[in-house]
Amino acid sequence: MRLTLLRPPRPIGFRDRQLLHCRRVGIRNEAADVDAFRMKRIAAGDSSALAELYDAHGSAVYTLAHRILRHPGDAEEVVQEVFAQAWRQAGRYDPNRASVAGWLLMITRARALDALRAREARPDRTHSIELPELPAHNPGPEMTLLSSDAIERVRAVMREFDETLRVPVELAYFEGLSQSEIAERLNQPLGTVKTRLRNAVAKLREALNQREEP
Amino acid sequence: MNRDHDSLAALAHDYVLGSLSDADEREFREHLAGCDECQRAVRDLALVGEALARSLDVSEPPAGLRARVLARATASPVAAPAPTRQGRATWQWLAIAATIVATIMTGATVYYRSETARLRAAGAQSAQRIESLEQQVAALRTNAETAAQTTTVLTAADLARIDLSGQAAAPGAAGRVFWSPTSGLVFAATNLPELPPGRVYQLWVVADQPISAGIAEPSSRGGFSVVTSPSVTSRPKAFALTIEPTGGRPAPTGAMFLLGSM
Repeated sequence: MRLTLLRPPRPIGFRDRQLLHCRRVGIRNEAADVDAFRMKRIAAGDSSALAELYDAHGSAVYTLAHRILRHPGDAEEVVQEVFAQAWRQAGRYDPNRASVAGWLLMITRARALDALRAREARPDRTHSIELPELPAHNPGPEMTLLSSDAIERVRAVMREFDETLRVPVELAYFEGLSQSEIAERLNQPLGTVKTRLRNAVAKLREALNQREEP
Repeated sequence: MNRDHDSLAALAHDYVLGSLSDADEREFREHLAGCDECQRAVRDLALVGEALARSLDVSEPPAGLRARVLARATASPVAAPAPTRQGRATWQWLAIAATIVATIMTGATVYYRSETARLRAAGAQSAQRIESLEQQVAALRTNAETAAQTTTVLTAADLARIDLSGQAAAPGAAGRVFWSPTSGLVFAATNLPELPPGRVYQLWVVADQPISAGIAEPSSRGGFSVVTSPSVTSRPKAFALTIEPTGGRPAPTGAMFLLGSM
């Protein structure tokens, strides 16, 4: 007996399975663990998990790459590299060090800055940006996962900054300049740049660590 | 020269941003391993970076990018940290799929050619023989379709693998289902007991209730396989293989030989 080859009427997702798994291992933050479980599935060669990862974070990855490179084609190239790297190195991802989103955005920043340097062919900075190895910790009640409120607070602080604070932050984060390169670019003393950057980042950290409104 | 804590802690920001010199980076990493305060600072600064990235006005990626991302990423093998039973990467399964397809195609082609040659040589042109040959050709075509369907399933983006283990009726048996919600399933089993006359193995997708996924066909090397697209509307919970009367049954009636849950 041969069966007719029929397609099922709708695809069946894995979301239920993920949520079930999260509940089983007693995770507090559902979204974070769905992501962490995706990384495990990717490490096991499950390409549908990679598709889910792209659907969840592709837009943020593209946005950052586009901000750094300011060129759609170059940004697309970086997005492809980032997810290819996530696919190859999913097994190395450690949820105790960074959220999946944080990890992907760190890779994105490093790859986009590499591409920026290659494009500008800056001979003094040919080595590729290293990903910082973040220290592991057991996520406490304040899980290292950014709430949309925290992101909104950071956006508000950046809007409130005047140029002397905002520009050094942008040059450091989105153009990958070291403090002395920023000083050179802005034609300011290194000490001034260091102080301004330190103050700006302190304010951003403060905004991030503010207690959430109940 | 060993620097004091404050001058090392001042490096945390550039460390997170990847703009330290190699020597400074090495020194800071060594310091970081034993300093709780700097570890906290590094985690905070990494979060600031993430928050800055996520506070940008969103630029939507072009629609075609998703397919290109997935195609390019999955073209390379996954580097698992340590080999695990579950850890066999898709590309290895694709290699197996290619072997299955090649075996079916080669075997069928060789058989077809030799059979034709043999008939020619014998000069036996009886109508019966021709009919038999036509049947062989039809079988070949079916094999080719099966091979194509196998490839479609095994290369599907949403492929999942489910291992089935032998039950009381056949503890030594083992099976495997490759399941793609969009493309169908491929099932293969080994070490199943020989079937008594008038009996077949039938595969079931267990969703809300068991749905037949077809009769397992004996393969040339002693195993059994099914390649199909069962009409399943809810999420499968498990896959099972039972023994049934020839022709199969709409719902399982016989003993269970293999079972594996999602």
